Amino acid sequence: MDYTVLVKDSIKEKPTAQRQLYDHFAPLMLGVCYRYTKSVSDAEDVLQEGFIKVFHHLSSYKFNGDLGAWIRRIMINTALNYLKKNKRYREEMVFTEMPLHPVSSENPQVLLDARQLAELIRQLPTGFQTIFNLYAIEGYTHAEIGELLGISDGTSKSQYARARYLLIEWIEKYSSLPKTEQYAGK
Amino acid sequence: MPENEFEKQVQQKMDGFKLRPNDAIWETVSSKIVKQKKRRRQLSLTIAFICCFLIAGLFLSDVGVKYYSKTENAVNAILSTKKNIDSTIVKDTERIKKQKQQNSDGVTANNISVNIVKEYLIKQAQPLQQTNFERSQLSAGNKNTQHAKGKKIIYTTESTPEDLTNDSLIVAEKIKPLPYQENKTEQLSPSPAENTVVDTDKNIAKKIPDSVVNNTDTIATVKKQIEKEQKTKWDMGIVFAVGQSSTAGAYLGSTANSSYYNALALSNGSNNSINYAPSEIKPGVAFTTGITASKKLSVKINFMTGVNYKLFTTSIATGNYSSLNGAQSYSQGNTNRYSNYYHFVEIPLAIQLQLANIKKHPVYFEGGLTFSQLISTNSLQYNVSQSKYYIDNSLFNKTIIGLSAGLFINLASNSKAPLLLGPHFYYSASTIAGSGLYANTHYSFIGINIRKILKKN
Repeated sequence: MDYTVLVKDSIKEKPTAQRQLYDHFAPLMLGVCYRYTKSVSDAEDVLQEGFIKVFHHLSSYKFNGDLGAWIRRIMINTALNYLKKNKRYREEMVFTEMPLHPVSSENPQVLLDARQLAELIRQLPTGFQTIFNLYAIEGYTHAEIGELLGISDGTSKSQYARARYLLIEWIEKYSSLPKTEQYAGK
Repeated sequence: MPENEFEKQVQQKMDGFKLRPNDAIWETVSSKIVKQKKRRRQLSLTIAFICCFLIAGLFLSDVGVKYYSKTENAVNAILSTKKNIDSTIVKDTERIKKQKQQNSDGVTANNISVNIVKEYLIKQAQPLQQTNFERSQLSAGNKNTQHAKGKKIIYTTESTPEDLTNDSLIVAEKIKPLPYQENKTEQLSPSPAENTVVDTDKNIAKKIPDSVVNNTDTIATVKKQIEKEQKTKWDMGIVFAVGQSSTAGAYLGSTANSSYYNALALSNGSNNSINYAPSEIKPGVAFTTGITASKKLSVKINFMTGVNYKLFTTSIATGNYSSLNGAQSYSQGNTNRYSNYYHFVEIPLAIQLQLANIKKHPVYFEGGLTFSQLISTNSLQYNVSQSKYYIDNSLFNKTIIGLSAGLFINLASNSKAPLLLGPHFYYSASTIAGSGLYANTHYSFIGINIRKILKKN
């Protein structure tokens, strides 16, 4: 989809174009924000703040890259800032270097749907959750993660290994449950 | 299974993960965008005006320093000339005494002294002349006093502050003829009416220095008096400006109200917000006319004020007119175009700075404040719940403070009635209304301003 006209109209501050742009990307971006936070309301706060930034900086978009990826980067940065600012998350984001955790199953088959997987990711401690999101889903390197979070590459790696181990364990456990139990309580 | 297969699976699943956001998020986002935009606009305008006034301040201080240093130089030059004259006359008097004793050819001391003074004055004036042609005129005048003397030799200052640019040169050029100049030189001794020189050395010595002293001493006083007169006098004129007015800040890219009403529509649970939003307010023709008064503050700075009548217009698309139980209203739609009129009386207060002089046409920057009083308006308000336009003047702010700026070129600078012409910009710092369709919007105007000064002092 070509968003050029939509973006140009949004830069001209046409409300209809801005609304269309928001409607198109908001659901996907809320999914991103949801993975980084612990509650829907926090995710919506991040989304709101992120879209204000998007419209504020839209004129700096160069039209030579994927608009979705550009907005996504803004959302991720907004989410990270939100975690750093929010006391509840900040207290959980204590990164200590730990030895690489042994992995029970390296590449298990993920049979869960997106929502179930997202819920499991959100169950991880905030530090693990953040590093897992950044490395496994967004594709950042450990060096980049280290730079973003102000930690060393090694810390990022060990935190990720621990997060991966936990998540695989939970996925296997969750997948073995009968369907009725998987959705219980949701 | 290849390495990192787990990550790929997670990535694929998460890439398509979507959640439906709450509608209230967009309301907040849109209102914050509007606020940010307004803040940016106000900030940029504030910065622009601060810059203008800083530049004006620097310009003022620079002009002030130059003006006073030039005035001081000019006065020093005059005083030094006076000293020279004094000392020369004392010497000449001594010479006359000697010559008188030896005089046997019938030449009176009076004539000698007058000739000496003439020679001296011509000598004094020579280095101050601008061209060789004028020098030759003076040289000729030395032989034939009828020609050059009195024309550009000695003057009392009539110079305006603008003229004080080339120190003693201009001071010398603009000095009034002294009593013993021109043809009076020949009539000097025999004219008792002018209390001219009598046939004694003492009187010659007394008479000439006194006149010179009196003239030179009064130079500064006269100059100050002239400056004071010029400063206290007001130049009256008429002003006319025509251009385009906007109430939604169209020049500055505002669509604030549409966003606001769209947000309202969304909060009402509508999927099609456009139906609830009022039409866009379009700019219209505007004009200002009135009388203006300007006063010279210094060489390049004028203070401007006056009283003006101002008419701003805008237009808005409406539906059909209805008058139910005396309540007049227009439905929402595009069938009619309604003109909103805003009548104001305003008092502008501005500072005018001369920036340049292009081919003898001075260019001025003008910036200042305008105090406007809204006399009447027929402007429509909008009722979002009924989708109707109606008139309610109570919502408008009656007193508006605005910022104005303009560039003017004086098309008749040599005339006694200068004509100034140039672009003019106005933006109201006060909002049009506290609530309703014009809440948090501002008046703006861009156009051409013509100002005719009726008689320049």
